[in-house]
Amino acid sequence: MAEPDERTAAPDAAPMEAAMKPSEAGGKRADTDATPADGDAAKERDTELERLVGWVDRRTGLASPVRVAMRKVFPDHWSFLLGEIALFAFVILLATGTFMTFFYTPDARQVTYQGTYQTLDGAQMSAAFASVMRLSFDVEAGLLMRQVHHWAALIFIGAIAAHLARIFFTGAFRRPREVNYLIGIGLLMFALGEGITGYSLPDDLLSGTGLRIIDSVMLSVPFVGPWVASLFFGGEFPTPDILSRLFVFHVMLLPGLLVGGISVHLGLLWFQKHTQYRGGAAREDNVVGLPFWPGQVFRSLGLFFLTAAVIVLVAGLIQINPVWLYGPYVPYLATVPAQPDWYVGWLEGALRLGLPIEPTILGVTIPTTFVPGVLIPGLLVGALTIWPFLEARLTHDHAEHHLLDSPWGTPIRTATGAAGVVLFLVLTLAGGNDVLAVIFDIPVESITGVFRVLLVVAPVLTWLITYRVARERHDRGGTPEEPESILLVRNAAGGFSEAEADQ
Amino acid sequence: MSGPVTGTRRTERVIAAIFGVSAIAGIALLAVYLAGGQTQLEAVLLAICLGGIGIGIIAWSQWLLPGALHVEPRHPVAESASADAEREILEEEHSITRRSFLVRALGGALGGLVAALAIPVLSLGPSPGRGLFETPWRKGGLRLVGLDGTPIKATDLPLEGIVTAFPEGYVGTADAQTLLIRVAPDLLKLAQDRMAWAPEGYVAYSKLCTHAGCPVGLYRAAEHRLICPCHQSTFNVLDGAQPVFGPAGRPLPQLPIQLQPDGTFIALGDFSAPVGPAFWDMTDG
Amino acid sequence: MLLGYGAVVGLLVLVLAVAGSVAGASSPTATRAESGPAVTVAARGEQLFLTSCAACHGPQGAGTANGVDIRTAGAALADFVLRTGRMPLADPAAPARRGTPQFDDADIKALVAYVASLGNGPAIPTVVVSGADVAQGRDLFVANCAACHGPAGGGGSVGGGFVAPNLTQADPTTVGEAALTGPGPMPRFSFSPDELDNLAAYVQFLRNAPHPGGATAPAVGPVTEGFMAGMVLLVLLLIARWVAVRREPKDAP
Repeated sequence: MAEPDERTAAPDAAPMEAAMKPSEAGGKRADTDATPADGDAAKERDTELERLVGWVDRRTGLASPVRVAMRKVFPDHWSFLLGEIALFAFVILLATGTFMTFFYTPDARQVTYQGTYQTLDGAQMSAAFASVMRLSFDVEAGLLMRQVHHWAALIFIGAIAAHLARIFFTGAFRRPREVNYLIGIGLLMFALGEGITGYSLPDDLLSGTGLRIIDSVMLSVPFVGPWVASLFFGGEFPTPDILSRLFVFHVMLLPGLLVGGISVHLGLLWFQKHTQYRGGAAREDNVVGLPFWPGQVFRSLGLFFLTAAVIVLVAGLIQINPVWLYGPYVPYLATVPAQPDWYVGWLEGALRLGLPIEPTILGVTIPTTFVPGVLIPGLLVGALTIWPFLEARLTHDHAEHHLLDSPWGTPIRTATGAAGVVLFLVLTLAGGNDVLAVIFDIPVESITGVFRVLLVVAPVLTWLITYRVARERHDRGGTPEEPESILLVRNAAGGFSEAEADQ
Repeated sequence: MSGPVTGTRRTERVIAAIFGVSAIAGIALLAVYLAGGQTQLEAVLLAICLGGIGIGIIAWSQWLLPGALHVEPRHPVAESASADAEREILEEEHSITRRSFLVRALGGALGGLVAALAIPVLSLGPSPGRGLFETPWRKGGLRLVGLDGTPIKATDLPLEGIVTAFPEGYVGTADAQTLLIRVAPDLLKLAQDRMAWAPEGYVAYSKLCTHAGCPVGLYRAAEHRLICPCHQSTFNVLDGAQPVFGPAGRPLPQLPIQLQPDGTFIALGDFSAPVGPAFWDMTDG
Repeated sequence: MLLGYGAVVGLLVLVLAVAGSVAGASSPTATRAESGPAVTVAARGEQLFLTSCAACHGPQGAGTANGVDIRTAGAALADFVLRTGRMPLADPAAPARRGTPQFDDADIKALVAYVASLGNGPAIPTVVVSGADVAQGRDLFVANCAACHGPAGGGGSVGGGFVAPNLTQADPTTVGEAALTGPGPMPRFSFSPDELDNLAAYVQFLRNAPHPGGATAPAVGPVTEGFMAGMVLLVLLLIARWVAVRREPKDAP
């Protein structure tokens, strides 16, 4: 079945390039070396932009694929913009991060501070911490860059989580998008890694304490724990090597994986075409929405600038991660409240709720941090990863899906997702149990006990309630609305659009 | 393309004005920076600049661009029938899988190489060795000193007092960090063989939490409870730092100390157990 | 309808009256200085002690089931708890929290003198922050205080229902008194007068610490930051909703 035929700007160029998938368009270049025809067409082509386009096209053959891309249709719904928010936050992270890399040094050697912050004058600290102090106090706009970077990181992972929730609850991970979903999970893991390595680079008391906990969790793995910890840190904690290793992860390995992964993620999205909600003219075998250019590009660009504006505004007005107050890391001090950034809060909560049971079975000790720190996170990430395949198997549904489900229409998936979100929330809140103790003036021991119960009860209750509600709405509402038939009109340029009633 | 429809002129002017505000904000931002800079002001101006561009672009797209929906067909992603011919050609002229024995042998060779890839990984760090089992205190006879390196005297600690101690010469060493606490001697309820480790109510424990290794820095003196700030593990100072709340599963190891005639303390040997978080073979001693 | 309102108002009045009388009955109420002639400070102190403190701490401060032995508290601890309003404590089971002092300065002096006379407790330290070494104060603070009171003195939970308070209201003398006497669950520290000066200077610095990065609170940390980030994300979602609005061509102005 032929795609809408491509009309290039030169009316007498090679006749229609039929049956075009964008990937195939590249194989059939428009013959742009043909001499321009006479008359009006020639005058139009002689604009500066057209000349430039022609110059590039004669060297790359890109004009035709770009024109195909411009008319590519993308469904427009605000919930499809969540991934873009994450992408734009990532761009901001790359930009501010590159700037900071010029000033940061991942050096654990002790130096004596001599800088603008008087209270630490003469104090001993690692060169890394000193470089962050210099960036914050002595580099013009350095503090703003640092704060934009940190706030953008919090938003980056938050947007990924919101995007993941949308994907999950609408069933966008079904065939043919399972691979893209897996890539997405991988991107989430890389993003978490970026966050943790990133906030550990300043080598301050709070993040260094977090590294100590990571070391302990690594140690807890039976048989290989001590080896894994020693290989990762370069010896017994604390080591002088860890900062430079985290630095390599943070500025080279993980950004590389993220850029590569995002490219594949977007590439698959491009070629598989975006999913769409039911309703209007949408069907499994079409895409209804706005063309890439100018509609979607304008939206995306606008959203980028607005995202950047919001992040920058918050970053300049609200202080974040004041490492000069925490002070340089020393392994014999720690303070309350001690929490990691929000996206690791669930791990922190799991550790706080852990039971004080440390059995030794046949000479093998199972540390108390193993179950909450290794096993449970592994199970949760594993469950997230296999879900598309598990669901396909349980529902015996291996067909392609390009129409999204309404969450109420899929009671089991929605109930499981809701239970997962509640589990995540309980763990995250538990990670701040001492802060909650102060806010609500309740002993932290009581709060911990309540959370231990909630950890099991809340997700189960949520599942049951969500399932019931979804079933009732599903049964009451009947099948998803049948798409109304619409009249399509082909315009002169070759594209389709909805006909007006009177046309 | 026909000219702009009347009525969109006003929209254009508004959007242009918004862009104008952005331009001014951008210049003002540069001016503030050159004048010495001020974080909050710079952020507000940058936000105005970026936000203006964003609002302008969105307004442009919503009010001035055609908003009609387009439709294009979507083909199944799976291979269509016409690709069968391609697949046959690939199998005929480009396949190597028929030489399965050779392919498997190649796989084996690569597997051997992969095994050797353990080399760069294993070079990343030393074998764990005895490090997790021992601390510098094991030398025996080392004096307890404070953060400043001076020996801690019994009279430095008031009753219900607490101080962080290190072996002399190892100030700041992570696994040697120790808490020296002074309690009323008659309150101590240690095991028989441990009472000698706590002369005159001065008792010393490892400061490393047995849960995840954070320094146990909080002390509720009236109740003689040590609390770790990381996950709220709580230890009872009076009965050998047994955990009474939280995720820690083992007591804080105790350091055998002796009060010297000059009022300073020395340690008789290493802690009673490996310090810090547990690991799988820690009972091997 | 009117009857309903009347019932609610009546109930409210009843509740307030009961609450008021209960509060009045259980707290050892502070009595205003009586304008009697020639009452010496010591006698005044003893009189105040007997009416306000002895119920829980015993007539000679030896302690009862409801209050600890305060004979070794000294002037420092007495001054601390009275000036910060922690004592008198209405409910012996409740944690002592900073509040409005229930006595005026003269009465506090009298009480302090009386408590000091009960034993050999520490005197009120003289803490002078001008000219002190704030950097050394920071070292002392981070090594001894920050674990419970937080890196910026914002306070935190120490378990057992206790909260290490926010230090932003602590004047230098208060800092010295608390560090030396270890009130409530606090341990005791033996700082030299110079160390106390430096420590108090750093606490004072924290009260007005520069925050070049923008708005902040003494209770700094990733929990507050994460909560704020959640709010920001919600704003971004709303912006996304606005961005995705599509107008039909004929809606253009």
